[in-house]
Amino acid sequence: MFSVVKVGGSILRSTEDYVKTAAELRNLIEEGERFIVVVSAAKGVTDKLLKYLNSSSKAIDEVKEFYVNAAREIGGFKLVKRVEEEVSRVSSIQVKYGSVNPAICDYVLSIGERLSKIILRGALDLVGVNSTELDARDFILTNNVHGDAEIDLEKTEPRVSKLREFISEGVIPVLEGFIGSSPEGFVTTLGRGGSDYTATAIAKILGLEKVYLVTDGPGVYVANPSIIKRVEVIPKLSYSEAYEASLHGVKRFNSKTFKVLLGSKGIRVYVGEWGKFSTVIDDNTGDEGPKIIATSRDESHLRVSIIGEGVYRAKYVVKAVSSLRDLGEHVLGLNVNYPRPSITLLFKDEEGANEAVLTLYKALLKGDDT
Amino acid sequence: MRLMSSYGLVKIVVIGFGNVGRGLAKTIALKNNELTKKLNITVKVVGVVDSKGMALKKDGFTGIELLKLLEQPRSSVGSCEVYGRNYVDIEELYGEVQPDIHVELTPANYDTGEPGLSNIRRALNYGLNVVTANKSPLVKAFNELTALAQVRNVKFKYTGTVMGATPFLRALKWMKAHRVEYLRGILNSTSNYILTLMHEKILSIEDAVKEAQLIGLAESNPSLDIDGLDAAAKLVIISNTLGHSIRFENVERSSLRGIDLRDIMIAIKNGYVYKQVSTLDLVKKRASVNVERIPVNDVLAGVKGAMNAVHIVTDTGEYFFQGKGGGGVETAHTVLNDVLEIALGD
Repeated sequence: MFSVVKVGGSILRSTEDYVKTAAELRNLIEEGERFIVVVSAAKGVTDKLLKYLNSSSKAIDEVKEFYVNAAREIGGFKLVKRVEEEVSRVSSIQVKYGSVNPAICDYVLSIGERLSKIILRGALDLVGVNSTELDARDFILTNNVHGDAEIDLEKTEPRVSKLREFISEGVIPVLEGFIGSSPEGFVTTLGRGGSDYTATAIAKILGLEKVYLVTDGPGVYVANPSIIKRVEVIPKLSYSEAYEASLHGVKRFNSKTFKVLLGSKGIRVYVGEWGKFSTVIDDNTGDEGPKIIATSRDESHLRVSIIGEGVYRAKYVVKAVSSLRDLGEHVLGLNVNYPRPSITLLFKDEEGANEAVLTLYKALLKGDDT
Repeated sequence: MRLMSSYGLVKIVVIGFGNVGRGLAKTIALKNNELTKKLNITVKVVGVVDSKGMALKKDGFTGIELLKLLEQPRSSVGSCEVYGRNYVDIEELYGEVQPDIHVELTPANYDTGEPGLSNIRRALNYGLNVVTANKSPLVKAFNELTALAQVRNVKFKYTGTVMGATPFLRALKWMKAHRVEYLRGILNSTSNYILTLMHEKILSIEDAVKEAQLIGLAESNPSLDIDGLDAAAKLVIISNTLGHSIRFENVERSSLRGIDLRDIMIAIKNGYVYKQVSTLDLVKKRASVNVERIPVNDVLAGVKGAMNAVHIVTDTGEYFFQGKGGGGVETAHTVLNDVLEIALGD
């Protein structure tokens, strides 16, 4: 049995990071793992491409510079030429975001992942891993909702099944996350964090047991680490808890990553960094009760959400509300999101919201009622 | 009757490694196992040639090796490790790898037909079956090439030259008992996509061309598409396939360049759309590719984006064909179907 390893952009900040990543992947192979690699764009690249779409030609130059340097150091002339070919397809045309065909926006955004894949493939060659580059557009079929496409699992299945052939031949397939192909044959993107979604969708289609989401932290924190110092990592979440967490902005997960797993059996998603995947997400609902205090904001509110199976029950709601008795003036309202595993408190100011996170963390996750 | 040198194995050389050539290599890499199971035929690519070099392997590239060839930059196939040669010598290629089928996928050149024309002549004279998606050799020398194939007792297939991804020519050839009298359709995906953008997004032709270029539909010089040359070439091939020889120069053409946003707005207001309409009248012996203003309820008005469609009138009835016009991988499938058909002896 093989797995999917998704390499996140947060661990791809420099040329060295690509080589380190390739070496880590080689280590996994030496440990007996066989896997499909799904790779994101390097850190910050998608934002730069969005800037380019907003008419900043400097942004595309920066993207090109980053990847050309990486290509030069890792693979030399040929790799540089390939990067230049890819960038030239979009850099010759100045486009304005919002005023063009959404298919064009997706095409531009997709080059971040495509270039990242080319560099990682080069790095895998460098460390002696037998791998092959595949084009996600040939494998991942989506609807035609550009910018936030959904993978058509049924149509994708026969294509993704071919990945087994590569694994059985001892070759590591490397493909881009985040992108797919619409029924019309145009490139689509899956939304921010879409590479995780690519990884879990492949696992779901192939009935794989393990997905590794490799990131720059040990796992999913139980609360925002910028509010709670030395905050713990949650060791275990169910699919529905992870899906709920993603809806409340936790780790900026794309919600489709876990939505696609709802109702599945036997797929374990490991979230963390190389050698330390401290959060496991699986089909086991486990213990009831609060697991994560999440913070998010929309146009008019700051939200603090308590996530965990059964948290909508009266005993948890009462406990949460009573712990916040001193913050009453900051609280705008409370939503019990039954039957979803969350309750949400709305705040009018950041100070109150942050204080609530601290209070709820102590009361609900640390058992401190004082 | 199977024509191949070894039962179940067909060896091909791919001449031209642009979008369709790469699409073919990718399709074979990803589908060969499936085809072998389904048809008991294994397609082996034994040589790949681009404008500057070639890569050859006598016993055929594996799927993984084909995918690695795709990782070569454009025009760099000759620099691939082990199998690459930084020059092009097709006679040498034939001699070393002994292919069954020459697949000609070089770009179209309507002035001379080259390099495709010479390549196909050479292949047929060498006794090789030929499959092509390059229109220009057929436009220049349809009768010569088809006659040469007959004399040499080899197959010459070109289904991908018209409606790239849709086997329209295959169907047309099959309709032997019908007498086709008239044909009208949309044969160029790029111009149809551009016109669709102009109507639906109210874009100028310049902006629509840019968008078509960005998604890989239009070439950096879009003249072949928007000035009607590509569609005219297709009419020549269709007409010749039906046994009516017409000359490329005699196909009347008009360009999309004359249409501006004002024309589009007036057309929309009055219930019309502009389309690049290709017409072949075999009774009056006239062929044209014109930008026409047609009513929105015309069957061709609903053919949008990169789709193609053809309405044919025969002595026994009317038929309508619609499907994808092009795309590297899509057209490669049509090319591969031609290869398989030869291999199966159909």
